[in-house]
Amino acid sequence: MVWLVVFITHLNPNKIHTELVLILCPSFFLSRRTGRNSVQSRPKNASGKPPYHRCNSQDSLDELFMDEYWTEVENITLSGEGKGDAEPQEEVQLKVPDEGEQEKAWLTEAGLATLFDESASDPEDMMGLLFTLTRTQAAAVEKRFETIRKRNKQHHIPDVRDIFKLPGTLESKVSLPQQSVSEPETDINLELSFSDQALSYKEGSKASSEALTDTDDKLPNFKLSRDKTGLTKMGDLSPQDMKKVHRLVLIEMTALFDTAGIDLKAHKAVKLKVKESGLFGVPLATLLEQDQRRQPGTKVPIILQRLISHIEEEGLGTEGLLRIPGSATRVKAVHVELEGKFYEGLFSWESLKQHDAASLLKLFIRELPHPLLTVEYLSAFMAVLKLPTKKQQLQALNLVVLLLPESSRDVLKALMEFFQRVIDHKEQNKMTLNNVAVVMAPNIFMFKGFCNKISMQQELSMATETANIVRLLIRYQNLLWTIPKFIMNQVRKQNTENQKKISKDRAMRKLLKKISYDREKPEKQEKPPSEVRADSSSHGFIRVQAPQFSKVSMAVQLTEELQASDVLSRFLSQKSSVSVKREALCLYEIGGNIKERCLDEDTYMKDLLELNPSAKWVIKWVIQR
Amino acid sequence: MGKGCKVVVCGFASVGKTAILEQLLYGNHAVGSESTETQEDVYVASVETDRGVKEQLRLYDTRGLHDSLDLPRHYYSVADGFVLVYSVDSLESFKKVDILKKEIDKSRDKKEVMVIVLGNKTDLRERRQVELEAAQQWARGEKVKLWEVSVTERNSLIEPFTMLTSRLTQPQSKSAFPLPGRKSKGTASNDI
Repeated sequence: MVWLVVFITHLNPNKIHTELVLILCPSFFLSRRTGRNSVQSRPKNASGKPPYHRCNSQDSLDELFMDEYWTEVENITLSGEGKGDAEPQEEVQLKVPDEGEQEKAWLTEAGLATLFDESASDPEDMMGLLFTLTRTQAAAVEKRFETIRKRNKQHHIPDVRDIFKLPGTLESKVSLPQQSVSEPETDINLELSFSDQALSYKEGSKASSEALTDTDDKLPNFKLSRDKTGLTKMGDLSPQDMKKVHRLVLIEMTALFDTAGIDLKAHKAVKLKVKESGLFGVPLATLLEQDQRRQPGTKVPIILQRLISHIEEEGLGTEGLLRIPGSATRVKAVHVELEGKFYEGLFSWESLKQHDAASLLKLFIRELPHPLLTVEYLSAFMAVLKLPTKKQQLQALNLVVLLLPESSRDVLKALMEFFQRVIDHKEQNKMTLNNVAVVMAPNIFMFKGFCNKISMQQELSMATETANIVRLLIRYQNLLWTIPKFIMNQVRKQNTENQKKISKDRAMRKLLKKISYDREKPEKQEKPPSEVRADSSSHGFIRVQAPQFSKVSMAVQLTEELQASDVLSRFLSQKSSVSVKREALCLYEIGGNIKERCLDEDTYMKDLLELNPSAKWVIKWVIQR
Repeated sequence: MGKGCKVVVCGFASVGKTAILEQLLYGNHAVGSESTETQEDVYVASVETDRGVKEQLRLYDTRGLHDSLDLPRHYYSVADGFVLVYSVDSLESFKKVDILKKEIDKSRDKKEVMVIVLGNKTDLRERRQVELEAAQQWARGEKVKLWEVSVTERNSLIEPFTMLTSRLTQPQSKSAFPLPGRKSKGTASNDI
């Protein structure tokens, strides 16, 4: 096997023919496969997990499909060889920071830097955050904090008990609803913190019906428990609240892995020399910045959008789409041509073959100087499958996806949507979920400098794992790109806490005094319109504003059934012929305990009003975030 | 933008208040379409007055009234002007206009309030219950301007609103009685 690899590397890359590869490959992965099998027979549950969980999910990927994984890896290696030059990037990006260092980084990211460094950020903000944590989340913070404290005792740090006293007492008051074990398995409970669920799963430790779902070879049909206050998608929130979400999600994810006893080694990105312009091999952020100057609001690099749409224009029915590689020489030529001509609009797309476009798409992902799933969280993605139940795996995956920087998250979503469309044509193109996952996994998970770092054995076990993760990402994308309700609730609570703090300020008190003085004055004066608003809402109306339009405001009767979509259609009812596309509009929840949130069409207004009584409702053009 | 005059459009239920406003602003109201029950919608329109200046108007489209439902009191104090709407095919709706007019006179205090009356649905000739002559006579007695209009003819709507705006924004009346605590939201607007 090793000999073969060497053989290929020594071939002059320019002379490699696709046919040659095809001849070489079968024997190649035959040996690989036996290798893999021997790895698999190795006790998998070294970490003490029930063996069936992972085995099942792995077995569900047909062995045959794994062949395609290795073919893909081979193609990647070859295209890499094609470049021929010793890349400066191969300097490893993976660096495991020291203990303590790691905890500090973690706390900083979680917005809790004040715990070890008083000058870091404002403590008010932190208290607001700590206030809202659940028991398991708090435990996760405590654990990291303890590590640092042990390391540098000379530091004067407030006792951890003092810090956690408050949230502790508060918690008993707020008391999250206790886990009801009776809920149906396939429902994903978003009300309750995932880590709390995981904990009670562990404590209960009855296999319950979970085992049943897991022995099921197919991916179960997880569905979100219907939330009357509406789903929150990733782009729905303001950046301010997203920052809070990020912190909470980080704590929550760590807590979730803690409950399963999985140690996450966070990797730190090492600064790389990267290209600052161009298409391939440019950091996503740079590329997006560049594209946004051309098209404001771009979230996915234009080149990627164009490649995807080109593949789709050629027809998704092509057999072996994404699996069959394009011609290596043509791809290389087109690659160079694109760099030069793409932005000038001179590139002739008509002549680009579909399989070549697919290869370019994969090349684009691989050429990213930072892996798409980011150095920081790549290991978290890999660790997801170590969790004992499918449900927890999904929940963890949900959290990791949330942690990704916006650019990666959006690009990943665009890719997953595209893959789903490919899979939708599986009758014609023979690309099932498994096929696509297996073919794309190496492209998404392997990046420069990564392959050299890991042993052959690791690589083998990685194959099935990564394919499985991609499978989950594609299959459950609608679930994974949403913010769980309990996180939303924690954000709301945090905002409420912060507001309380602010209202304690002296200036505020003065203002309040003035207001109450004004109120005491006999109400001879005419009521200002704001009071009209107040009394109309008490009569079961909500007032929806639309300052960007000529119909600036409307009162809507509040009923149990009233949904955000009803409000929008009422707003648009009479002016259907006006060039306002409904999709371009969104009803926003603004103020109260949230900064701003674009409402899901199925949001029940009455339930949401209970959750956020002082919110304003505003119809606006959808903001491109 | 800042302040715009507040005009309350009111009248009996389903006389076509919303239809008039939608037609006036967007010019696309489909005649005969299902009537929707308005709670309270606010529109901002910019109207060119006969002095050739564009003025902002905040139009309050109110809930349709009926026997047991009077116009909420707060409108009387907020409004700078009223558009009373009746439908020529309903005597009842005309009577409501009369009641509303008396109510406005009672509560307007010293404030100057501009009132116009619109008789809608002139296209329904065969079902007419309110004769134009009788209505005009009433209007003269009340010293208000009255027009018969139809939503099918957008042009018939423009004159009353132009006149209303011109009167409302006449320099002297505009500055004489500034309302305290008036807030208005900045908006984009449609031209009429």
